[in-house]
Amino acid sequence: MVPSRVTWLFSRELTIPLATSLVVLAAWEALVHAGFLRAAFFPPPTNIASTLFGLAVSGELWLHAGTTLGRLIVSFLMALIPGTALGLAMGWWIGMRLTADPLVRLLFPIPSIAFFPVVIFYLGLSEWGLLLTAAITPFLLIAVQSAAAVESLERTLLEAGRNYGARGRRLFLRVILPAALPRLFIGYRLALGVGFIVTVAVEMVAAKHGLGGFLWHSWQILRIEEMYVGLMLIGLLGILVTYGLEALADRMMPWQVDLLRLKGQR
Amino acid sequence: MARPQASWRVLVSPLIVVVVWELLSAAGILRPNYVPPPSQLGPHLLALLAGGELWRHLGVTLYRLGLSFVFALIPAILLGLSLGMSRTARLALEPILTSLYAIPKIALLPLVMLVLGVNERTLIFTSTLTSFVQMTVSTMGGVLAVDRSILEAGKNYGATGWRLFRYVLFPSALPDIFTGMRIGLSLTLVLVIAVELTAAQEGLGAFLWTAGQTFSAKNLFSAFIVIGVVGLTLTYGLERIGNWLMPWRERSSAAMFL
Repeated sequence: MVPSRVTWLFSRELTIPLATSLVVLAAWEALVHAGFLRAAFFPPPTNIASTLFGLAVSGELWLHAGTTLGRLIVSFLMALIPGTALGLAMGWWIGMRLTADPLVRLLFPIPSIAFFPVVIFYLGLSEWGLLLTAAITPFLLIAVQSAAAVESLERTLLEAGRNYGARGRRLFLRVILPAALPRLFIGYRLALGVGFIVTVAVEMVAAKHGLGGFLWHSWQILRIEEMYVGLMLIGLLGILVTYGLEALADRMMPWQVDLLRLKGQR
Repeated sequence: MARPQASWRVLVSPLIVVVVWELLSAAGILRPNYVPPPSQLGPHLLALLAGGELWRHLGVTLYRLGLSFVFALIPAILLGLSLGMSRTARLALEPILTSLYAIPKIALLPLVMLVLGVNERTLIFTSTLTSFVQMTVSTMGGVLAVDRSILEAGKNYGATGWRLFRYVLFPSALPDIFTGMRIGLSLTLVLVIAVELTAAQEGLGAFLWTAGQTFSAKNLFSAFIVIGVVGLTLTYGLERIGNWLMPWRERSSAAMFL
């Protein structure tokens, strides 16, 4: 059931969250002007907005946001392609599973950021060091989820495909991949979230550019409004990463939405 | 598909890696200053542990992790349950919870340092927030995912109010609450290590960072191994405890990697 646009505009799904946001922002603004909140710590939202505008006009904002987004995309691809390949192989061949699965399961629970000092020990404080660190845990996560995607395929589906004459590449492209896609996407979504956390953390620790670096730098020189702008953009990117891929998956695989809801995975 | 329980076979490929690593070192292909062979690393790790220094750092990290978990636990479960049961509360807090959930909590560190100062309290507060947000969201999700038919069945058998909550709703949501605790702890461990890397003198992260900066490969690997063991214990140890405490929950090997 899809409610019409006008009903949606006045529905509680939209009005209540909007009201809370406005109340919080207005209270913040008012409390600062009344002197209850220290402007040095919590600059009023209007000041933050004008700083945001200034940074957007000067182009500095786009530089940092673009850098972070670029790093996120490159490291995600570095995780996605080998991770999916390894995971599918692990799900399909028992030998591959016995070899790789224990290693993946051994490395996965290691806190992702702990790889950073080890990686830069060998690669130096370079762009590749950043990207590789941000790719490791997502890679492992995608491998595990892709393997699970193949393992959980229904045998009847495979049998039906075979009976209709699908073999080898055709069986893989026409039967296995479409059936495994929803589970693959769960892995991608989780991996992107983890990759984003690590990217920001590594930027804060070690990078000049990028939103994490910008945030850390503006704290060190106590440009508080800029710090809030950095925080805000990281939050926006986080929301995009967390909920954007989910929306994309729903659009790409409409046949799976109800199924996943039914299984309680949403 | 259910897979058979882990057996001795899972040890084979890690052992092969260790043996190959040792052989490559013996053949002179891996230089011990860069990649110390397992035969040197083992004794070094034991010596570090015997000296007590590594234990101290481990203790500091675990203390930070444990304290933030304890602080976050009760409020997160209470809030999560209320949000799961009240639609209005859920909608009202949605913007705040959504942004807090989506933002990497380490990005809040500068703000917290600004307000609370650069000290232990800041670290504990930021880690508590990490655990809190994750556990709240998981608890809420757990309540929302409770099967309607189970609730109906409970009502038909005469369970209402507290009894419905205690015997039907809560046990059904408990597996998700527990998963939230485990994921919360893992995320908090990442945060604690990340903060320790730069802003702390003590803790495993600080030890790891110092080892890297002073080019001490043996210390670096030792610290990494200890951090890895902590991560493994959190993930697999808690999963075992969960299966033991809640025999009614569905076991899924992939759910462990959320």
